[in-house]
Amino acid sequence: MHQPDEDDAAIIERSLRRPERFAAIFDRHAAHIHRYLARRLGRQIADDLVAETFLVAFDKRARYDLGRSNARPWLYGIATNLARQRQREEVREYRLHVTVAPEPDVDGHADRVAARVTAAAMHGLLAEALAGLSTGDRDVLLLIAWEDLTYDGVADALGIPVGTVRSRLNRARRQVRAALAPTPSKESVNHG
Amino acid sequence: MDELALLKDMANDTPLPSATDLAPARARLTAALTEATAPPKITPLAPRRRRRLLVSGVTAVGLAAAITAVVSFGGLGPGASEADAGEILHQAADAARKLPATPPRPDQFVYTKSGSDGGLREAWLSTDGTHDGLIEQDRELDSGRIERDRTPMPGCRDGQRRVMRGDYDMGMFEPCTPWPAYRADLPRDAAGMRAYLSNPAYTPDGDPQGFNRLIHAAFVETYVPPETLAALFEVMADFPGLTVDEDATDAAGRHGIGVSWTLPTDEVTLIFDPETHALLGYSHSDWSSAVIDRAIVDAAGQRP
Repeated sequence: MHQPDEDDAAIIERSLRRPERFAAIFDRHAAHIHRYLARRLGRQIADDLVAETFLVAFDKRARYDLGRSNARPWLYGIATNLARQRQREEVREYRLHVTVAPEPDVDGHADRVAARVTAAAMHGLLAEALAGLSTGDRDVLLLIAWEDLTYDGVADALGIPVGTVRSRLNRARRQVRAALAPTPSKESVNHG
Repeated sequence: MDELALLKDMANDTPLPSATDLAPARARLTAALTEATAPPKITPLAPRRRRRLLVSGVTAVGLAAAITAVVSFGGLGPGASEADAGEILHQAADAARKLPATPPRPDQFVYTKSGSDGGLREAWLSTDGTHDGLIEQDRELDSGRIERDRTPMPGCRDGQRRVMRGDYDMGMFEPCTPWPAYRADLPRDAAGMRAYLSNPAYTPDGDPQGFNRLIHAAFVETYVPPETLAALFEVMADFPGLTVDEDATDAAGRHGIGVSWTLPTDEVTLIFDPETHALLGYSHSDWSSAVIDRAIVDAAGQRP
């Protein structure tokens, strides 16, 4: 078994020769990756994509940067890519099966979270605002707001510089604020 | 409530899944891991790699030499004890002290060629951490073919480092602190080293993992002054519970004298050349690495 204080880099390094070691990476991070995918795409798709995330990670482990002791941002990056891929496939599918109940905004920058989260009016508004964001901006915003990644972590996950994380986050927040502002509500939203 | 707080609130609807929820995904992964562990992929690897390592100019120390070495260590018989292990480490320290002591120039590179079960690897790391280095690593494909990954290691200059994803230049910079491959900052005598290692940052609560990391830093792909290396061996010589393996084999297939100490869940072995007492490699319970060649060179990509 792996040692409790062994970091992810050490486990991944050993898994090059001992693939079964890689299961420890799953045990450490799968719950969070699953929850992230469930938030974005729903539980059912998350069940499927969480396995794919770790299979892809396992295949790519020889290229893992061993200087990074925590593998979670890397896994978020893989999960994000798979989620995007899945969305594109689904958009195609919707177009083929036009009889399927329409999902809002499935063309262009649709994110299934927009359709799924309708519990509260505010959440509905938020979901719409999210659906209106560009894919890259939405990825940054959700990794920070939902997954508590640091700017560095997001940069690592998405393979973009920290400066870009910052600018995307600013733009995304501005857009979401603007989308929420026109609707008066008990919790009035301040203009930045 | 600002938009980030609203978003967080929205995400609270989704709980973390239980182990049971994750079980099907875990089963899919472990099936793939088991398949990857299947012997046909691993077995042909070792002889081929070993052969290549041997023709790379490294002296293979044969059985005869190993026997000679046992004699030269002075009566390492069947009952080799902790004292013998200590003696080997003291001799290794003496050998280390005889290494050339000229410090590398800041613009040079520490070249290390090493072999491990992960494949052959060559690294050129900037001695002061500000110059662009390089790592090349062989990777075994499923087909059995070996592919070589080239990973540039951008230097950190004026607090800025180019952002690379693998070998792709993002055309951007990120803040950084230099990581020098020449570690002139470590203590150069046993007392200093002992004090240094008792620093909780390295051995929190006597955590041997911390010590492991230091060994990794000192022996693998970095260059320390000979006195520092000697000091490390001197400190190790006092480790309790050391054992000696007179016929240990490193990851390159070279025979040597192994000195091991046991951790709660691991066993670490250093393998020394029986004649020169130079460190050949090290291994854990299931991972080993052999330093085949190391040198100071003037440019990344240059071989000695």
